[in-house]
Amino acid sequence: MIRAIKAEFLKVKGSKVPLWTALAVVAYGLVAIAGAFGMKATDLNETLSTAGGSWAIAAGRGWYSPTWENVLRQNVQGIAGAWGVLLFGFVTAYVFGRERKEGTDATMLTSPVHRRSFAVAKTVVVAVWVLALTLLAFLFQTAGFALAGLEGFAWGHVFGSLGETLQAAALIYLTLPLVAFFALTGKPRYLRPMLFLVVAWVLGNTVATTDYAHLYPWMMPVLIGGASWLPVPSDRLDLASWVVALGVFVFGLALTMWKIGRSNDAVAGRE
Amino acid sequence: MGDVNAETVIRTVELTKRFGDVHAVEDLELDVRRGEIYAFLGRNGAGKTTTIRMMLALTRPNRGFVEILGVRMAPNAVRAFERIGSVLENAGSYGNLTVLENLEMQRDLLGLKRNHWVDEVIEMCGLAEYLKRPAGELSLGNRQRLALGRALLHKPEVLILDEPTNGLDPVGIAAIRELLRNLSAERGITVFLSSHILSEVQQLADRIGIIHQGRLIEEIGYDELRQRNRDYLELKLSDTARAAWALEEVCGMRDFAVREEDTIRIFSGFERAEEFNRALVEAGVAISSMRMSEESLEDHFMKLTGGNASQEETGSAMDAEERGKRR
Repeated sequence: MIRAIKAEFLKVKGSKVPLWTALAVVAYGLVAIAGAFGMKATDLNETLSTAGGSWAIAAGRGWYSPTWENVLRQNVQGIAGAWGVLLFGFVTAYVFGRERKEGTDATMLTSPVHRRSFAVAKTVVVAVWVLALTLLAFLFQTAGFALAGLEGFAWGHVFGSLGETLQAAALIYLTLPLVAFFALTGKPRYLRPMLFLVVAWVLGNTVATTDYAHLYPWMMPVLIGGASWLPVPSDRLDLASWVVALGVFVFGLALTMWKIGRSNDAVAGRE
Repeated sequence: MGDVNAETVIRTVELTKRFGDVHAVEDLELDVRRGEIYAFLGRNGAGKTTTIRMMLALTRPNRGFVEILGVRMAPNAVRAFERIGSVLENAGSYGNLTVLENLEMQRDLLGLKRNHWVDEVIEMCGLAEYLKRPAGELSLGNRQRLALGRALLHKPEVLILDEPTNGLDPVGIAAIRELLRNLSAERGITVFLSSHILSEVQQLADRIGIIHQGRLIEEIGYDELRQRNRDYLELKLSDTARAAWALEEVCGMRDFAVREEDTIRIFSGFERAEEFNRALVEAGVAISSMRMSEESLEDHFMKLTGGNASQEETGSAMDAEERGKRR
């Protein structure tokens, strides 16, 4: 297993994809930081309090005031929203799908290492990658917010936000083995898993309006911090939510192991 | 050359694979012996790659099985894979990693320590000057060398190679041929390789199996391989036993073979044809025909597989192209 994990980390070395994903994180961070400057320059809370609907409710809670507590909420939002789901999904699709795309799958599957080890090793690589991107997003945005000279700084807000951000990332991570499974099936390699994620996310927007959002894995991260600062309940995740999320993880991992473990007929018959 | 009494290393039994209505491989029975170089020859689409993929447990057969080194091949046949090296068609390397990193990764995966053998493999496969180059920037030929190097790292007992000379220039082809010959002769490695280029395998193989439309239609052994492409004088006779006696005892000719009930092939001394004729007649053997053979092994292969010179994808055409490059 250790050999497989070491090999999987080495496979990423020299690839430009980690750099691109880091740049995507930074790009989103820049937007969030610009938003913090914008909040300070304009009286956004006042403006939105007259906008009506959910915006007005959120403004009523003072969520658009230029304070540390409010802008740190963006850290969670950045990871929990579609952006995080799609980016982490792409990372997973790349780690699992590239072998077939680049024709190295046969090399991997004929190595004297149990195929399950590769599935687990790749899942470990995805975990580290997701954690690294999450921390980068958090640190970059928080550092940017510091430049904006916001009011109400407290380490408690920072650590609270970090905890929520990691929690959101963890919830997304638990759904990624399903993405891995789709990356191992059919052609083209990356389209299928990304389509799966888009469908899951779009469905989630419908589920979000019901009482079952806390049981729908792709909406759970949003429930932690609130989507788009709108007053989505932030305390709805319960034990059942985590049971469902873990169930999805176990099911997805089992499916991925089964797929990687069986003969690779999908790419046979090319001759 | 493989020993006919040697242990069977690769065995396929009733190996069959269908993709929908396409019978990719049908009832394939192969026995490859230890130390032998076995060439699996067939036109494109004949079923070579599918067979190799089944050998390596990358494709499940619909029927039958493969045994390598006594192990029934299935996914996760880890013990068998520890003793097998393989290179598949369009051998994939990690393009973002350098040649050395690709080799080191494989070494790590195999749990091997860095030792002189790794350096020897690098030297053998002609990779020394490319070690720091990303594999993605290598030519197809050098990628093949890298794949072969990776396959050799754990000193396998069996090498399974799908079109190993694909993309190589003539010098590269000769180098790989020499390498495989040495691995077989000096280290006793059993080599199973597929190809559609007859001239390549002919110079290398101990036995050739010809596959066509998923079926093994002929196996040509070492002796026949060396005789097939020789010119010969073919005699149709009334009594081959008596004719053999006359050729040996009267003419002192031993370079001949009795082919069928009424046929003898003489492989040398064609300028003595008149003398042979006289000796046979005097021995009371009636000769119904006498002709010089024009059929080469390549002609035979083409006849078996239904190819013709105008078909670009046939072995013959490819072969001709290769020969053209060599000139």
